[in-house]
Amino acid sequence: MSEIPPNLRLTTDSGRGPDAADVFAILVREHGERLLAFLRASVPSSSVDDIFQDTVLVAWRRLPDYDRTRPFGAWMRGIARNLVLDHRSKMGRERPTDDAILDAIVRRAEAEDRGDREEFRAKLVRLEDCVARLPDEYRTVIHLSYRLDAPIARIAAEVGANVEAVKKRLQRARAMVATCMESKGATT
Amino acid sequence: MNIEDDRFAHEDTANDRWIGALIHVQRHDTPERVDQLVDRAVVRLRSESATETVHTAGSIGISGTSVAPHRRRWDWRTPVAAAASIAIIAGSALLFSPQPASADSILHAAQVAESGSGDRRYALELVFPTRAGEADAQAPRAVGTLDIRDAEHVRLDIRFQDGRTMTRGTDGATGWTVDPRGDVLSMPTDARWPRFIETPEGDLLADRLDVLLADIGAHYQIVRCDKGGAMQICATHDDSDFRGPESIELTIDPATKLVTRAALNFGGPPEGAPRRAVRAGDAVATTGSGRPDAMTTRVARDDRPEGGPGGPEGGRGPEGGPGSEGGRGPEGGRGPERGPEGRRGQAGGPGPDGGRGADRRPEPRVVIIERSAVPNGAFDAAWFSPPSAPVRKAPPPPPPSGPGGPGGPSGPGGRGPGGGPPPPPPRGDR
Repeated sequence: MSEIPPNLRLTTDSGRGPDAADVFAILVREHGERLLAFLRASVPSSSVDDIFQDTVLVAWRRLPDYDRTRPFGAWMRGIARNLVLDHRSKMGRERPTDDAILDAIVRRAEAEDRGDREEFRAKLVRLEDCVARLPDEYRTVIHLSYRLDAPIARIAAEVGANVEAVKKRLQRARAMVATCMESKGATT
Repeated sequence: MNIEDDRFAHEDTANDRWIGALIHVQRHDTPERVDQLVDRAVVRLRSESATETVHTAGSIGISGTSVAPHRRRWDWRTPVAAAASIAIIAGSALLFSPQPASADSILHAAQVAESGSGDRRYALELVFPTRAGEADAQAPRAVGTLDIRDAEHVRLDIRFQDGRTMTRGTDGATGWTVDPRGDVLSMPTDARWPRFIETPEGDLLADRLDVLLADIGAHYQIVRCDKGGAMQICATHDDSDFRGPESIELTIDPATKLVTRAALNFGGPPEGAPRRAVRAGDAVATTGSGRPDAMTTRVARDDRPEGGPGGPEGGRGPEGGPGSEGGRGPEGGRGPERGPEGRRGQAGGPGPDGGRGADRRPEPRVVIIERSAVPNGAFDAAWFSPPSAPVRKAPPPPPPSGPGGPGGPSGPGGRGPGGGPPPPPPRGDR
């Protein structure tokens, strides 16, 4: 199956070959970053790891239901999407606020299924290059927000702007990165 | 706003979030972090499979259908179907990996599996060096159990061949021990444990088997050494700068990758045989009586970062019974109470017993740790707390040439009050 990169080292037991969990783990690793990207776009950061774990566990339990004609990543993401909806209902529709937004995020994630993990990583490198090319005022807020996980209020204090201005600046910075990515031929 | 406007708004929002997510992944979700997340999930699913019980993760909708939280027995058809579903994938994978599992990959899997937590019981067997002329079969032994919930809830019970016992525990709030007189004594919750159940870094071995496994990967040469159908790894120390057992034999459950048995061989020739030269900086701690304690005699580890300014316990712990305490114990072994040089008792220091240096019994040369069942599946909450009353009477004093005894469960001070003034100890290499 093309799902398994030949360079992956397998964990096996007793020389009998990889057990089910070993192979399952390999597949999850292959799609891990893309699944995390989908979750980060869909739920608050504080919930991402938990939902990631739950997605893996539910996928394991539902493995007999997996249709091998479908991409494994898309199947996992389907499970994750349901968990995101479940999470949203628990959190009082915290975010995303609309199913249509979630569907739009899913479409962006689906676009990543065309490549493999390495291609996705290469795309992230291009994205980092785009961030590096941002004007200082935008690069700074991106750095504070995503590298240091600083809350908006702290960023505002740091850059001497109000909270709304920082939110807007972050939004503009992301839009500029998106434009840069498109110019590099990487669809977002 | 019309429908078209809404659609564009949704797309813009999704775009914005997607780019934000990609930036986040690029900066935080490194491949190593993703691997860790997957490893943690795999440990959980293996654990669930092992208990044959499935817990659904809340109200989860799959394929558009939501199922209420429920608990069900693992249907035997599920793993069969799961195995069948990925059999083709596995077959393909094997094409790329025809060789049997390497010791490295097994060790890594075990490390992941051991990173979990929960109530655990380990049966301990300690084998002490024989004396000159004694056969291996005559080697003094001790057996016991090490019960662990987490790093803060630990209980150690050891019974020595001569009938003495050693009981120590901590429930997170109170560290405690039972001295030879049967009195319950308090001690710091972060007191050092006997070295044979510690990793070289000072973590409790059975609590941090994953740390031990990481050490093995870093400082030992490892090979598969399966015996009798059991998956085993044999590790041989190959890093002179690293203090640890000379060799380790691990038995690993092929299904769960948990370590079911670890035999740690600290080397050490039989008593009376030529001994390995002591490294610079090593200092052998002994009991206050001058008799090194079998349980706690060890090389001084004076440069532990916890070693703080000298305190009253630096050379002698408050629990340091007359000549009965180990060379290194909680008060003497770590923490701010330690003397500036982390002083501990010195070998052969004259004590009330007359300095029986010649009778000293080194620490165990072999320690076997075997995972065993926890009674009723979990320990009672009070199990890790100190008993309210003495649990036993003080044992008779050890015979001069008998097997090394527990050396005072508390093993606190570097020496008992009878110990002579300690000469300046050399710095240890830890």
